[in-house]
Amino acid sequence: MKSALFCTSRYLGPAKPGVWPVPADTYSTDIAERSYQTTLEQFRLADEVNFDWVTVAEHHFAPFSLTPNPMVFAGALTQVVKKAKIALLGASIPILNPIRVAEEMAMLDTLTGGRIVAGMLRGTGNEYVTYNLNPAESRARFEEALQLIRYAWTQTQPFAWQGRFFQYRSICIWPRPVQQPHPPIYMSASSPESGEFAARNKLGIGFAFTPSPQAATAADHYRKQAKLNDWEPKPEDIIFRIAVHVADTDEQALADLEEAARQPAHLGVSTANRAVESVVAGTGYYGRDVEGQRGRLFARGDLKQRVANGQILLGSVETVWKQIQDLKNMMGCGVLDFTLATQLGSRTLHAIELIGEKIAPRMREI
Amino acid sequence: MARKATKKAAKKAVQKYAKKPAKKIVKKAAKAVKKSAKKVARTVAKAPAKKTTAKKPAARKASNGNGGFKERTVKADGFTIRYAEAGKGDVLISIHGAGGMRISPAHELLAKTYRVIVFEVPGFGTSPANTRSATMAELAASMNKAIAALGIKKFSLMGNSFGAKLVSWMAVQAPDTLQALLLVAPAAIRHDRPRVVANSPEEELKLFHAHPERIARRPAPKKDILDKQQALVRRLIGPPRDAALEDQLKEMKVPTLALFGTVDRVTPSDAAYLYREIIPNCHIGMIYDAAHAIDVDRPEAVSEIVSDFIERQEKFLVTGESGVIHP
Repeated sequence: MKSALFCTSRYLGPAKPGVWPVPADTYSTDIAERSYQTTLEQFRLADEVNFDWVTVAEHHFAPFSLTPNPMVFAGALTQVVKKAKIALLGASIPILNPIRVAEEMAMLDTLTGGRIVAGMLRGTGNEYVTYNLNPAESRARFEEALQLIRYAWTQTQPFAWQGRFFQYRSICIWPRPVQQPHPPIYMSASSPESGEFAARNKLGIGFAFTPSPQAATAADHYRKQAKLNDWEPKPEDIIFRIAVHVADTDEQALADLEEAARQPAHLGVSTANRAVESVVAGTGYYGRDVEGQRGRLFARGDLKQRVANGQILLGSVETVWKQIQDLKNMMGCGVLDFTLATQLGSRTLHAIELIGEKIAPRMREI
Repeated sequence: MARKATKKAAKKAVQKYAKKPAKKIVKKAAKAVKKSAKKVARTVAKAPAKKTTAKKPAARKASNGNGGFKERTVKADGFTIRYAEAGKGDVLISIHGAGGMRISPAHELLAKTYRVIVFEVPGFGTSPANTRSATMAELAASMNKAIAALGIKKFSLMGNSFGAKLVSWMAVQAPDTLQALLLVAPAAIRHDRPRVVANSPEEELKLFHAHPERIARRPAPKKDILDKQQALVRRLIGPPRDAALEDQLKEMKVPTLALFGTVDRVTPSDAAYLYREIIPNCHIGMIYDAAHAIDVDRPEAVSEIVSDFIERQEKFLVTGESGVIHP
């Protein structure tokens, strides 16, 4: 089992809660710069303590994440992270220019000597507002963009593309990916349709903001669909992203998290604007499991409930190790993408050290 | 004009496509969410986001099987050759694949802009068995004579699959007559690997069509006709890498566009680079989500790029479409 560290590059200052897009009237350039430096420092440490991956993500117009273009941040990481794979989890490909995505990921793969993991996501519903696209077309755009990126990576002669949503007359990207035929591709598979698409196309999957029982059900669906398509996913084909905080004792970990909860959390990117979310839901964006998909996004509760629901790994090394084993048994995931649940300076860095030095080595054995 | 007409048709089809509705209304997410969402939904209901329709891929109108094409015959090189014709303008000659002559939805779209002539190769359909053409080169010469017999001096030439090999031979024999060469799901240059075989009508449907719902219904050819056609194809198709043809293609300067379906398993797109490497002025087009019957699966996409290429050849690389949203 592999360990990954995910840091959203959260803006470490105050901002208006419960809205999206978030007004920037409280924005401080100094705080933003410090936020980036904090993230870089955390990723540097993760690499030093032998995390297998570090991961970045794409979100827009909110202090939840200061990486609207994760490629740019990954570019900086190539100069900081020297051993771990850099996972783009991911690029929201339906709202982007797929050729640009193919080029940027190929650049990163070259800069890292083949250490890129290519996550390709649909993005959260609100992100269709970002670049003024219709969320009803999200899935179809996603599927086409993914195939186009694959072609861009593998075709060595210039070619035109006649898609439904994308049209180009001549494509031949430079640089080319180091990993052949291309970097490993992962996509979200929390919805049944996504699991089926991933299985048909032999792609890895990942879950984020998904309670573990729901993710386990979706992972099982993916494996069954893969079997129908005559292949069997490896554990490493399944990533589970989960919030984490580890301290020297269970009590300290809980106290830290309670303290962190009093800070500006900047959560709810996809749900902060109820008007947008509601309209997006009405377009068919969520697919056939509307209730389940919306439910997972809105799933909240107090800290203890969230730990019990498998939404946070919390406690001492031994406690978290037990929780990880439970997760592994429940869904068979091969990569845990640890999301930092706190930003508490040295205590957060200590959590990274504990995971990297005490937990990750055990994970490699299972 | 050509691009405008086909683009409009393509846009319309795309709008019909792709959208799936939420099959059921959201009953509840979390209780708080439900309340909030309902309230918001009421608020935004008066001005909802542009709702896309929920139709399945547009089933193409079956028409009468010939899409307004009129059938005629022409005598050439000792053959009486059937052809179907529609439209006005520059001439586009089309040669069918191993399955025989058919008017495809792409033909119908192209006939809005071009004088489209779809030939039936001697030995296909109800024509007598063709035992006279000893090689593809000979058959190509006969087809070029048929075109000349119609008084056509300059034209674009399109071939599907087996027909792409035939038009490749026609092109190398008479390059000066051509405005553009269009190879659709071409079997002219192939990797040397076992052919994918369908073992049932259902498998065959899936093998040739990514979107069988778009097939216009027409009577299935009779077995004796199919057997006759298959025998002719097997006799003439030649090796996957046909040195005699490739040597001449390397010298041919005709602007060429080779189109591949991204889910075609009969002539997969992984052979595309060979066309580019061998034919000096060849461009490659990937037709997304199309199987071997590209022009049935995505006729709008095919006709748009074909029209653009006929009209502008190499210049088609540079778009002339405006990006202005509001002046």
